[in-house]
Amino acid sequence: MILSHRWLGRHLQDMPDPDVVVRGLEQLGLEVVGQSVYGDIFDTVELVEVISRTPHPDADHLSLVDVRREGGEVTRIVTGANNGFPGQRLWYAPPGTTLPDGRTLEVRDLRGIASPGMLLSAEELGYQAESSGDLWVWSGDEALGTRFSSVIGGADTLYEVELTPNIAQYLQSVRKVAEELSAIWNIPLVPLTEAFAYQSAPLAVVEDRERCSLYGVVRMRLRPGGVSPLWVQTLLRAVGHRIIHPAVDVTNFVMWDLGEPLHAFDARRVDLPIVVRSARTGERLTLLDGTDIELEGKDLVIADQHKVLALAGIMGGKDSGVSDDTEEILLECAHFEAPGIFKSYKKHNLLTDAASHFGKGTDPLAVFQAPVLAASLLRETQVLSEVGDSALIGDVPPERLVAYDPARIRTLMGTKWDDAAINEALQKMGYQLVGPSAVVPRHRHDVESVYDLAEDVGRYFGLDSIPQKLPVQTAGLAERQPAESLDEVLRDAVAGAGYQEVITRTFTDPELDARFDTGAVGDAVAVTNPLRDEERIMRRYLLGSLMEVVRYNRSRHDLPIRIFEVGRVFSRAGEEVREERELAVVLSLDPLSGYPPREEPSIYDLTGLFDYVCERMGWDAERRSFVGDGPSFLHPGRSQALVLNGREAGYVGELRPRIGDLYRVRRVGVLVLRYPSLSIGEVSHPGRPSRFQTVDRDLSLVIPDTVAYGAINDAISELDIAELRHTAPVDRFEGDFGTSLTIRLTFQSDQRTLTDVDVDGAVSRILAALDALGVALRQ
Amino acid sequence: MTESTSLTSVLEAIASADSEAALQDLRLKWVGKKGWITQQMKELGTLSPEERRTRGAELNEWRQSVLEALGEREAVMRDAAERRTLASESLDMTLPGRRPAVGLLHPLTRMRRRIEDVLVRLGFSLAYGPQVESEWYNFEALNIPADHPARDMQDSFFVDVPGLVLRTHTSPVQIRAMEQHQGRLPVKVMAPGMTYRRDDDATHVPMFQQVEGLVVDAGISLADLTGTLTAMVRELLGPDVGTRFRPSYFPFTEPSVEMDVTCAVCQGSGCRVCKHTGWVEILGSGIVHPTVLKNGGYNPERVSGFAFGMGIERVAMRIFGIDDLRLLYQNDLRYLERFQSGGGLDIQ
Ligand SMILES: [Zn+2]
Repeated sequence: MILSHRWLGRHLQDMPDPDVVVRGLEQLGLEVVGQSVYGDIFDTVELVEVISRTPHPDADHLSLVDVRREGGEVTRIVTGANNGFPGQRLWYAPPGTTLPDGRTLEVRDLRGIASPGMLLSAEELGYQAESSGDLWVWSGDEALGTRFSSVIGGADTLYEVELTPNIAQYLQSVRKVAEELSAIWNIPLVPLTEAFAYQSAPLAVVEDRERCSLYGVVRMRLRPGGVSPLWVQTLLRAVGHRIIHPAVDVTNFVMWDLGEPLHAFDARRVDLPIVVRSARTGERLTLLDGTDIELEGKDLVIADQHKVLALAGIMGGKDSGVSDDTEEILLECAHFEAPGIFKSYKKHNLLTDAASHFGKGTDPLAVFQAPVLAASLLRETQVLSEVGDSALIGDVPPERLVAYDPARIRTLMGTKWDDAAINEALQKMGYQLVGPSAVVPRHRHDVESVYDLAEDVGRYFGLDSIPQKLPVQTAGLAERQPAESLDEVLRDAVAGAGYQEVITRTFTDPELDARFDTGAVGDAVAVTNPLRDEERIMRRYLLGSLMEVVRYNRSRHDLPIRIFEVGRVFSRAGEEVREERELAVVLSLDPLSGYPPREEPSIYDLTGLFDYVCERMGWDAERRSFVGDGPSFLHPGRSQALVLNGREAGYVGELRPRIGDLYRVRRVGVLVLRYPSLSIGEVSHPGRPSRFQTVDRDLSLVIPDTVAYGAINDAISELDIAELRHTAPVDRFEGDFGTSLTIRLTFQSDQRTLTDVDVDGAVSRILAALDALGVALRQ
Repeated sequence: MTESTSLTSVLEAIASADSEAALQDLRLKWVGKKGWITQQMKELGTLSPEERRTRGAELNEWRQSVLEALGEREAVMRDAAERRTLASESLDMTLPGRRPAVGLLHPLTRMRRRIEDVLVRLGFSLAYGPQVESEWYNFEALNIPADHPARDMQDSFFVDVPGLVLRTHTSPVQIRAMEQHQGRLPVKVMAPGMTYRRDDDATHVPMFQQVEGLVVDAGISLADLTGTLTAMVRELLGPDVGTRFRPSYFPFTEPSVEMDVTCAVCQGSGCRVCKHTGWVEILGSGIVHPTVLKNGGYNPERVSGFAFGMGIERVAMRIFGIDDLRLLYQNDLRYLERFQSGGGLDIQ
């Protein structure tokens, strides 16, 4: 909502500076998101008098008009206007002036004669004037050189305020804002006029009293050709309205001034009495803006004896609106039930100014103020010739009470305000206090309980006036959640191993998600209203998202990829959504360029990462061959299943190069692990270091092609030799005898120094076991 | 020495030897097993005791001088050889160093942990809820019924499972946490997590992170709220940051309060970033609405609470001094590398 400083000043007996106004508005909860000025562009538009008018020598439709300016200077302007005769006083915009439509004027050459700037019509200034010609002939007696900005009262400060939904329910009105400012500033209000005395002429019938508790109609006779008062036009222009017709201008003015939207019907188009009723199925209405809508039973309409005139509280019909030749209007002043209007305007997508007032909440008492204000504005320029008969159907809704206890407000706000101070605050904010209750002002649709009263007391005093404290009595030992702490340890472990964490969007493209489908989970959860097509499901796997990061980076930089994410993945389980935890790591395996050189990345970096991470986490984990075929997107000879707590929980391996190619990375290793939230690890129990020396034995073995290192390692482990602390491969090469593998066995005892006899015994047991695999010592 | 060779000339020969081999020859020639001085010493037995003493002392002195000279010359030559080796081994130390392969946590992870750390110190426990949330927890339980104008405020993503929605805020964890506490007091939790809204521009992304806070106990007041949040924000943004509180509106708090901090760009004097107000909003908060307390199983006549929700990205943007939120989710690795320092617990 745009609030005009000057308009606020209409209601307050004294008006502070704009920065005070901003602070006041924000104290009340009206966030000021912008400030601007209206009228300063008129600072160069000056009043001049025509001294002569002669035809243009070379153009029939143009005239040369000499005007006298402030100080007697004469300027010649070329104009095509049909008026501007000697003695007439006009508004002149010299070169450099910017008009409301955005044009900046300069010296123009019109058929060989230089014309500096323009003589203006009212429309070019954004106004309407009663004038018999194109140019605005000014009838005021201001001195020559008077600026247009000064006849409209000077520049006005505008505040763009954001209305929260609760405030929109009652504060879309300059008067209501002024009332609250008056309360917090202690500046008296300008009193409202007396209420309008409605007659009870048979002008209207209300069928649906629930949705329209008050319906007033006032007949007014108008003089065609009139315009709204200049100050009304100025305030309306300032807040962004066009000037249309005095009867329409007045409804706009009253809407912002009192928060009460009015509607003017052309009396000629209405077959009285008016009926306020639900729409009938199939009824149609052509709105003021020309669109044709189909109505249904839930819409409240204003009809006459034959047709629908308007969609109640939202927009009038085209056929019954006022036009230039309108001589009599029926002015509607109503109070509608807000939720019904809200639903209607949402359904028809018609957020008009009226709808945003009626659909959120208006003041029923404004129904009595509005006709008085409208009539006085129309009378000011003799547009109104007579107020005719009128009617008011319905009753003012009763006042509501809420329980009131100042002690409760003190407790909620944590302050020491005494009862008298709290009472005064609420009374200033418009409440009447009756024993243990507060009478809620009729326009305060937002107030439900003592909590709202507490808020108003807070707004009255200002929230920053509340002394702060820390709820130390509530402090206990803060706890973390084991499952999420585990995620954090995992993040630290993988990042510590040299991988950059990324955070990717959880929604993705079904095709990309399917590319890394392992068949381990159910269907995807679809987002029914995605922003983009490629974000229309919730991801079931992390890897697709990570590979998009690879693609994004590889298409911009030639750089090695070492990334991971610990995040959530989603899948359907019947009518439930399963949310699981996953770790995914991606490592590009192509050779590293650069100098000084670095160790080449290898898939063993990822298998090693898995072993390290599981040790760090204390997880019971192992790598093993896939049961059956592994996922088809993996390199069959360079991949393994990851097993956690005895269950297959992921995989590690190279992507098939043709999949990597899709991401601009031919050789790429991936590690994906879906881990349960309760896989809390074992704590290490490292014991004491042994005092005794270790003994290393290297065995050079000849191994058949079919025997993997893992099989040799398993065979040795199965022997369960207590003193064998460590087994590791140290060398491998191919010779004419086959493949040679050297393994290093490290022995150590906690009790004593091992002898050659001890070690030889163990080694011969190991060789015997390996013999079963066809593995022998190289001679 | 031989009758024709003086000690001086031997020592000169040693001092001018130009190779290990020449030095070795000289060592053998004079003090080796068959060297002249050694031979002379063996022959001392043939002399009279008087002569032996004189000659013996002389030979010893010579031997000592020769050995010293040999040692000195050896040291000089060893130093020269080492200098030559070292010179040949020199590297271009101005080449870029091989940085350790240490991964970084995402700046938003670090920022989340920083916020969690401050709140843990203030006594808040951690609580969590699902990202795909029921409409009950996300809306109705928080006093946002269907058709409530406030549902306009948060444009939600819906999923093809009836009754579920991508949570639009971390506030549903308020209800879940109260349910888990089963009426016990106090409830003092924070809930960090992913949230979703249908927005995409420089200051809004469709998936973002919030931290929710909730305190419920007897006598919790707005003063507790402003005190706690001021303490938190000063820990996060520094002790000099200016703060203020403004009335606002959220369906699940009453009164609702927005907290502003002084603009980091202009320090409060007004600039384009803060729309010339000197202030930028940092979080939304308020006294827990009685309906929300009831929905969490607490009696609003006996207890009260406050809650707040803060965007982690907003804090990150301020601390890292960035003006486009989307950069944080682009995962440009070259860009993420630039967040080397700060944002964790390492800046004050
Ligand atoms: Zn600023």
